[in-house]
Amino acid sequence: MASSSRPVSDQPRPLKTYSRKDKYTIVADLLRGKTGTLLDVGARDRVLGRLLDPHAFTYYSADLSPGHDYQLNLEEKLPLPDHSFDFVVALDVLEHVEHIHLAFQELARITRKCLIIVLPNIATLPRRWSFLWRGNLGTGKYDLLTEHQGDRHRWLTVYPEINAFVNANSAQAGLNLDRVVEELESSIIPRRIAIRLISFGLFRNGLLTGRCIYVMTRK
Amino acid sequence: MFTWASKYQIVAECIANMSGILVDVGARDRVLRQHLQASKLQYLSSDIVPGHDFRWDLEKPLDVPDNSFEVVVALDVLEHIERIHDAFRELIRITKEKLFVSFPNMTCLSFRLHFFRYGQLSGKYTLPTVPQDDRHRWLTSYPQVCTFVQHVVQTARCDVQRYDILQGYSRWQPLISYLPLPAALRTYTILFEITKSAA
Repeated sequence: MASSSRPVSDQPRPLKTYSRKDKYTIVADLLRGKTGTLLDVGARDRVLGRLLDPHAFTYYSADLSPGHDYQLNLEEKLPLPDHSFDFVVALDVLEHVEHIHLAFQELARITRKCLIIVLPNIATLPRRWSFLWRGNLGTGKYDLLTEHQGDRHRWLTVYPEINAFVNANSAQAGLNLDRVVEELESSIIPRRIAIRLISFGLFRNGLLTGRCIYVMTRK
Repeated sequence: MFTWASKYQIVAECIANMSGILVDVGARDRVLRQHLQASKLQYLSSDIVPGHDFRWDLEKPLDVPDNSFEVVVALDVLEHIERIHDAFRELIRITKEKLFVSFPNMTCLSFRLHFFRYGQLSGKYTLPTVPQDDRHRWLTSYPQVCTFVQHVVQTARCDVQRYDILQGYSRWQPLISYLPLPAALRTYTILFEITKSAA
């Protein structure tokens, strides 16, 4: 049976690991030893590009604003052929996009080998506490200001829902979700202690997970 | 001002002596009409789905002349709209006398407790596995909503009256509504009565 038509429940469970590093370092580590073309979507100041081996990757950046190799609007179908890049990476990007499902499918479409998506978990313990105590989620990305701010989070991305979203949409796009790396939040509990707590079976439900890094490969 | 009345009751009381046309934007199943039995206003409904007098998409400019309706009502509608600022200005533009807009206070104590306990706000903020149109696109907090409304209303030269509605669906709201807390924590829904100046 083709992977695109396989029910989500039948997908093999991805390898899940926890990391104390930041998202850029985690992704650069995941890409070590690999080669090919890489498109960094929502690249901003190209932090990821500086961490990659220039001999291993041909790095292209893309963003909504000009000044990048590609100016792409994820709200629309991307003007790129199928399987255009060996690797496609979108770090903290999809939560900004209204048509998040279409954007995911488009990123999958232009991927030849591997798609890496990073989504923030807004329901960590520190953020829940911030919301309870101060009425904000510890970020200005959800603010309603007196004038429209273009750069904002359009989705409240919480741990169980982002996992279900990536599971369902990667299966639909014909990708295997191979690995999930959880970047631990460090503001309340030091990351080293957080890993210990998780290894003892505590806080496994994303309470200390600031971000999830999803690694999906094409069969 | 604090009130235990529902948003529909407040609107009905405020327009009791008015005549002309009322358009209920985002009317859904026209709950407001049930509260307007004694009103002299002609009730018209609008929604993005068919089956209403008007089919308006608030994400786009409305094809309606200025000051078209004596009363315009949009209850818990604007937080669904990405272009919330423009949509609000459009509603003011088509209003002749009074505009009512309401927003859920997503940072009231009920929602804060729920988010702390469950890590989710409400079904309107869910990230579904398949696309879904009916959702809240803004996290409407009491102070930010008040500032937003004041800002837009000032530029449109309107008067505004705020109603802090204590009624709510949350499990904890009946208790919280009686606690001596600031309005930002007690209020479940914020309703604004916006009156256009005669000039």
